[in-house]
Amino acid sequence: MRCLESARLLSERRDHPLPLGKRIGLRVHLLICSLCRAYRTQIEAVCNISHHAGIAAPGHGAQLPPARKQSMQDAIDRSSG
Amino acid sequence: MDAMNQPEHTPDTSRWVQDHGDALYRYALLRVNNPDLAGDLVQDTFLSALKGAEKFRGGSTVRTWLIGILKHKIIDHYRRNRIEVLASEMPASTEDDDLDHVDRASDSWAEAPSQLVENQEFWAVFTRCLAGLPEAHRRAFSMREFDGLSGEEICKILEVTPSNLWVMLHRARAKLRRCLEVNWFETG
Repeated sequence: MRCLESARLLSERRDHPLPLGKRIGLRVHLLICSLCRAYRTQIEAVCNISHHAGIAAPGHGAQLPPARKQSMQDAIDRSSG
Repeated sequence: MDAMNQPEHTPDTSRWVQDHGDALYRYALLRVNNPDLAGDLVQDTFLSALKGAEKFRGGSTVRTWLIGILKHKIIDHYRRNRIEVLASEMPASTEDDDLDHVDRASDSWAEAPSQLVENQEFWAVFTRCLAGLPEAHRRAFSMREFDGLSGEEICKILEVTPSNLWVMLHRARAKLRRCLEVNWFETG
């Protein structure tokens, strides 16, 4: 198995079960390839970071412009009568 | 529990924008990467919520209820705008011709994800890297990783085959990994 296929499978196994042969091939490749082991750690980190980002959506200061807020509240007030 | 997250059986609409506007805006902005569009989606969310306010039973917080509506608005936006976006960005093949290679073995990725996303400088890098993904890939990645939608759900929304979705997600993860490595973890 080449590293590029290993990288693809490390992603795909997050989305669907891999066939047995692919699972075994990937496991063997990871045993002998330190770069792909590091890549596995990094891809898992990317996904964990994204999971937290999706929940927290911190934005760090991103705010609706005041004028936009006012127009929104005006629209709500009009619609709520 | 703070006031804005108190369960309410009758939502106080006079404070909606003040109490929830920025949080909804940040939620949308992360997923659509367009300030004007994010603002439009938030406004649509408030107006839809207003029409369905009688359905709000207080079983969840107002914020959670509004985010649920916004999530559907974002998916509706993806559906309405799918053809022109996806036609030009659908992977032509599963070849990894433009995939960055596995060429580094940095061990500096150990910092806790929750701490990273609270770091303002990291967040700037992360959102910049995310914005660098092709639109179709970013949408697929957003639904899969931010929202935890299943592959089957995403395929229906984007009208793509599972194999195309897997390629898009693989490329998105790989490019995001590479961008974070170069712009954050290597420089840290």
